[in-house]
Amino acid sequence: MLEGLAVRDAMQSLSPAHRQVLELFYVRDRKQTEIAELLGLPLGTVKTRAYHALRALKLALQERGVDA
Amino acid sequence: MPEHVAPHPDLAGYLLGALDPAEAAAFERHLEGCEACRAEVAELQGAAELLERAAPPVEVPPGLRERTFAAVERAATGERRGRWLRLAAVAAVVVVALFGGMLVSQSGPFGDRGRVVELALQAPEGGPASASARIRQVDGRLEVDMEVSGLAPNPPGTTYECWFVGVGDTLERPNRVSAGTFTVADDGRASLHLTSGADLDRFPTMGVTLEADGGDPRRSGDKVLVSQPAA
Repeated sequence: MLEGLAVRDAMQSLSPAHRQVLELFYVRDRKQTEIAELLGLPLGTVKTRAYHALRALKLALQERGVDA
Repeated sequence: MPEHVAPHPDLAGYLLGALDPAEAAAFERHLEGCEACRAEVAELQGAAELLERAAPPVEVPPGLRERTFAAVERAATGERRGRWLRLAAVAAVVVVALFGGMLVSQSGPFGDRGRVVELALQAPEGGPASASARIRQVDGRLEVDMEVSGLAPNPPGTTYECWFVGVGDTLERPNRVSAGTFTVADDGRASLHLTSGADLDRFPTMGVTLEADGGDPRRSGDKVLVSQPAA
């Protein structure tokens, strides 16, 4: 599935912090508060980081020709 | 439009499905009155959906997630090296998340490696449809050969989906993993070869449902075939 490959490639291109936060978010049943606890970061930081990580992912997908 | 320097803090959590119901409801109320956030949601939801589709949450063998998070807890309460241990534990969680679904228990039906399990599937309400599935464990994965007969051709815009189903599965609280999709032509037959990372100890039953096309990974359609649990 080409789309899946593009997503994986786009994920690899993100900064480690952005990649990590997205990986933690898509583990089912992990809520924001749990992720903040896991990372030892303030909840607000996790929320902001997740937002910027999504933006970065969208850009990386577009660079790979995926209309996200 | 009001000045909007930063989006609502829960926007990403909403798109990634990481809000609890009260938070999600509060965010949706905010969305109704915030054009800028609606535009952000529209712009980013494609990326969130692609992420979900490309890396669907995987099933982790029973106990492994609990053990891993227990290790995280222990690391988090450590002292000087706490932070490094915690990061290592976080990495372990991610590895569990990404590869946990591939692990297959060595106990249960496959305690002696290479054993074959055969399951017979029948229509839950009775009828001519039936299937037989032959399941082998090969290199930690399940190789399934399935012969289907007497099944109505799937209507346009739908597909049949094959599942490994665990105990207590319901539409509201699914406990199942997809093993693949197939179509049935006018002769009512299908021959399938499927590969799955499912743990047969945890998902001992096989089933087939009729699903609408469109990539929604959850089950929403009717059960057309079900098996007894693997012994």
